[in-house]
Amino acid sequence: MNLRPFKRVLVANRGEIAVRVIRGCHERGIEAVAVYSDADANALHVRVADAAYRIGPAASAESYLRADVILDVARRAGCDAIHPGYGFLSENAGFAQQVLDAGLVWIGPPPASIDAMGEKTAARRRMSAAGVPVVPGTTEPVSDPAEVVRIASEIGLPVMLKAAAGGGGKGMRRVDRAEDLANALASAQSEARKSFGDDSVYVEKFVVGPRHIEIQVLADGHGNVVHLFERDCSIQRRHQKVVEEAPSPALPEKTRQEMAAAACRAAEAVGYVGAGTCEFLLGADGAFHFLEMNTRLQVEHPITEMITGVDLVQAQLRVAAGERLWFEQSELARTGHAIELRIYAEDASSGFRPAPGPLHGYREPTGPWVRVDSGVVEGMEVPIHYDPMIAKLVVWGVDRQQAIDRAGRALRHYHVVGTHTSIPFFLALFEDPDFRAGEYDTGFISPEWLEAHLSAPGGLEGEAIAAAIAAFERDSRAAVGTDEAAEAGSAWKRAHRWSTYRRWA
Amino acid sequence: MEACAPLVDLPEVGVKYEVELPDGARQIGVRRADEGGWWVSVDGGAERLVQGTKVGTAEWLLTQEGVTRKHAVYLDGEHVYAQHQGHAVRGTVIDPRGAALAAGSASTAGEVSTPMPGVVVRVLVAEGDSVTEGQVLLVVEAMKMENEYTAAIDGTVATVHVAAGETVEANTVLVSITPS
Repeated sequence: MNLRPFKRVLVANRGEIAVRVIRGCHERGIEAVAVYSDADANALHVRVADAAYRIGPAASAESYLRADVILDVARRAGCDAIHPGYGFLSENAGFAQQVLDAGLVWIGPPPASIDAMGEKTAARRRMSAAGVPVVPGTTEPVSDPAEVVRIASEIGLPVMLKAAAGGGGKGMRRVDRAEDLANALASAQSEARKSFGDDSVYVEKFVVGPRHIEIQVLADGHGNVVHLFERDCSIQRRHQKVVEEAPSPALPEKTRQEMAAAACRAAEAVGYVGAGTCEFLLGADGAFHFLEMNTRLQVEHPITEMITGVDLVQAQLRVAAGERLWFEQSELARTGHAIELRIYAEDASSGFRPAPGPLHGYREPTGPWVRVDSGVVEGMEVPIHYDPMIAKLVVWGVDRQQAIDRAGRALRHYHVVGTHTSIPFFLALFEDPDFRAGEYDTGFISPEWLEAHLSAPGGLEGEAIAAAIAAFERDSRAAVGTDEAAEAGSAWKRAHRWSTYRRWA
Repeated sequence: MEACAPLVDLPEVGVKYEVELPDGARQIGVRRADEGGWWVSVDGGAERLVQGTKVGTAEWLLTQEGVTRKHAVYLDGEHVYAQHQGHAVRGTVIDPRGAALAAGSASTAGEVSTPMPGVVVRVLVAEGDSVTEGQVLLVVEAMKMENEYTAAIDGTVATVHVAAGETVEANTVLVSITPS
């Protein structure tokens, strides 16, 4: 067996995940090279890397998606491996192949595995064949509206229309009435074309009261696969996860075992290597169905790390270097409870409208078992060109209750001035008795819930006074033309120093 | 607004700001306290002593009646950004006199005048001179000390109203500058 440890990794990503990967590399004594667009020239990931290279203007299509430029940087910088993070090129089988063809190590699964799971209808077919239960629906993409209507009446409304080349909640439409199908198909196709360059759509039965539960798998290049338990990602808005927890508060142990076994079978079926995630829907009836497999590290990987003690980025690096898995399934155990909150630059009170802006004040909470993965620092402007996620707040507790209390405390200590964030939404969520009881599904964050639970800020007299004092101090300084040192001392001294005093009539 | 800069008469006299935040408008009067800090009144109410300081880019610690609290506030011109119980807060802080002035004549914008009586010792500029912010324009002796008067804006000297050796009263306009 050939171990091929690498010396220098190019991190083909930005923001918090680039910082995360760089940390993993450095902990293993591997050099990390960052890439940045013009919008990220002073970003945190650039600062923590050993060296950084500009790859283009702000737009992703001209920078983080430029496979050719990134490969060129890898060559110039003498990198022997590339880690793609999540999003961007991480599930681009063509890019993975180019990396391999260039003689570099791809820190991810083989291109064939990415392909096998990348096209969602092919993935569904393969899973079915492997005995993994899938959500009833089409096994081929459809584009004919008449066909969609026929399928929908066959499997029964409501249905979900989804992008076959998709993920991340984009290109998805729920349809309850047959007359809305044609319209929903057209808009799902259009969104899919824009997000993934492919407008193929497939039809799935809409599972009622579903919980989104995913299983983390880890496979080496020697045929060994283990699972690292589940994550419950049911709290979503616009089909995007905002809260994740591990373990799931709603998963019976028997179902856990069955799902985990199915996930491992799925990974084996596509010859998976590395860290990956199988996503399932758990219906209110207790049955689970395969949704898709993400052939990369997930955003919410930290909560798995917190309950298992396994560093998943280091695991990716070790597996990619050719190591055999260093633990057996029976040695993996979970302890306690972890919760992740995605801190987005968004205005929850305006339907979670993205609201990038300046971080005039920014200080992350910390303390026992509080972890913040972010790519921002005070003084930065949250860029408008990318996903508006500022940071992930991750906490661990001995049980779910402690984790919730700890997360609530951390939220109250999270100092952000200048930009709207999802913090007030999370504070409201943590007050909700259903959330506290672990009783929720993917429909939890409804417009009605938001209406009922989000409040406007009030009681701002203290802030008004501070603002007036700030203005007063600024205006005084301008009058005197000097710094604070001049303010000290007697009134006579101050009068003496008023060299640009003005009196307005 | 910056060219018209200082809107503070005497710090002891104070300023009344109109502060608009999501929970409403307030008139906040601020004047400097001799013992440090400020005397603050809210909507014409009784003044209270507020002491403290800015401790970070967007953070103040203020003490009133023996209780110290943190306020996450950042001022950018007339715009206020704050955070309160997790909520992002936006608003404005306006000195109504400044607003009226900005709307009014520009000719008063560059006036330099004295707060107290004195004697003009040296005049360092002449009419027509270009001046820059911070440039010393003249020196006035008062209370046995020499006082340098500097330009708060870039501009051209329009009029020098006094000459060396002249005695001046309080609130005399010494130099008028046309902003550039």
